[in-house]
Amino acid sequence: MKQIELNNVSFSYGNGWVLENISFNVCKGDMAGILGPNGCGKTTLLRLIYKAIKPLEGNIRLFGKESIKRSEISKKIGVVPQRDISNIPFTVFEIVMMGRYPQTRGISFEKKEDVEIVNKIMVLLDISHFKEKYFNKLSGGERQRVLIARAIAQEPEILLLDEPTSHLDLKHQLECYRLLRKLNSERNLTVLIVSHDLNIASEYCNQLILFRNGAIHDKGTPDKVITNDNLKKVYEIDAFIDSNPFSSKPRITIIGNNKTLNKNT
Amino acid sequence: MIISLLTIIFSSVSGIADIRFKEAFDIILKRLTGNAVNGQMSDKEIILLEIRIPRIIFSFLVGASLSIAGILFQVILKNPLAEPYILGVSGGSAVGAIIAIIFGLSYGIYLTVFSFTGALISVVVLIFISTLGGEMSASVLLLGGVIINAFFSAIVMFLLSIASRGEIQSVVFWLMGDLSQASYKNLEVVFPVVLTGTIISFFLSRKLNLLSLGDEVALQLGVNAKVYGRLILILASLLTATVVSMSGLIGFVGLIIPHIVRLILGSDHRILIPASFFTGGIYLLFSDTLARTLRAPSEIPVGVITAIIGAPFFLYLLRKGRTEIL
Repeated sequence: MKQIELNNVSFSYGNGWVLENISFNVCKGDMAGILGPNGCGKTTLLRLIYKAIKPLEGNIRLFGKESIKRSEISKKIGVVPQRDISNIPFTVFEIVMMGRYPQTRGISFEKKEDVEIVNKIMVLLDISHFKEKYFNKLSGGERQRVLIARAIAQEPEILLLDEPTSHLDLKHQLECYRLLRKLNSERNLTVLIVSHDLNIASEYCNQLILFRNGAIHDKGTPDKVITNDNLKKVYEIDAFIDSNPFSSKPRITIIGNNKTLNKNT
Repeated sequence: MIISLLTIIFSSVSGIADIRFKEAFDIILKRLTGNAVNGQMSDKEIILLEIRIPRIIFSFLVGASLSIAGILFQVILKNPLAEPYILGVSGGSAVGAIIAIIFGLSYGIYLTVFSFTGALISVVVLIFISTLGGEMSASVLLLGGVIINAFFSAIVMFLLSIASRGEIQSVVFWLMGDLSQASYKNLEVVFPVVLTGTIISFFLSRKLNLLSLGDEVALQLGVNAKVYGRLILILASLLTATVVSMSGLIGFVGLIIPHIVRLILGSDHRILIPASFFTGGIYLLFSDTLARTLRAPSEIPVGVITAIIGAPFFLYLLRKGRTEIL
């Protein structure tokens, strides 16, 4: 079943297309990765999907519907933003609890079930030992885990993540992707991740969409998308690609770059 | 709530005219039970019922209103340093009010309307300035407030220079924050505005929680940030303008009160709003009681007291919070 459908979507902030003629589908239970160099419109794409902005051309259908209420979107789509800018001091627990907002109405306090859900998720993301700390005093990696926890607390059907692991150490990166895969297989959660880590994306995603200058360069399975030719064209790097001996997914070894320094792989 | 009742009783018995606790109690009781003796009231009765009681209620409401307005501005700007006085919003509504006074429109609804317009103009300018470089930053925000304040004080100076001597006297005292104009007539405007504003804010408190995380996050969690952002802006300006138009410039209340309440009870607006309502009310009532008793029989403007307490507190916050706030 198609949950996200983009048909010839174009978007611009005023000067030149940020995204041009984008079409792809994400089906229920997919774990899809969006790849591409910095500034190629990936974050804009996520904002289009959760309808913070409207496409100038084309249309986006969520759950088969073109017009959908804001409250329904927030019940069914969880978003993990790149960062959080607020200076108002909330505790980690309070921040994660705010993920329960779409599922509960009124101004009353959250129920016992909500507290249980939140506590469970905080254990999963290894953040419960600092749940009473202030969010704005945490390190970048700790913050990211809190933001992921908040999105999962929404109990959404689709999870959109914008570079969720860019500040995480190796252990937490791995745990984060394992958790996403677990939710994906156990609860049939649809996951759409913007990522810079090609190796992890090819390892965990079943579908990859490779962007270049606001347009789709290639899409399909990791085997189809992660090719020498694609990496050369999109990232301007030379890479050696073989298959991971444990998972037989494509594995990238960077050899060098043909134009500029590139450290995003 | 109990504390606020006690403070109200305390300040009703402290004052120039010597009214004992028992006498005050008797007078109020008599009034409440409707047993007031017909005909002439005694001096003490007049002082208590016609001057002191309205002033107590008025200063309580002004303090509460400024605190709630402070919280709302903090949500809009995602920064706990925001405050109507520091941001220049009070200045804007002061200019509006002074224009009304000088052109002889200082009665009834005109004062509030002018004052509200001034407040709104300064908020719009402030948001325009602080979002110029993309994201709102605390330093740009504070600078914006300084500039707006400087601009408005220039206008105030100009207006003073063209005003008559009599007008100058009343404008100057008013500028320093003056609660002595309290009357039941003022309460008729302030009471409904402040109460409605607070109740609306309270019902918005879960949305305020989300909005204080950022508009984009609020949107992701299902709050229409644009619509509610504007609603909160209007609410905050209205709360500020209503009290500024009648009490003049009283600074730092909206900064200190929410901060202290957050320290003790946390940032959840479902608790923060009612708690700040009472704490803010008590704080200003207390300051005003000081203002009218310290140098009795003359009065110190209450704005002087709140600024003397508030400004060092603000500096302390700035210094302590360097890494987390700025």
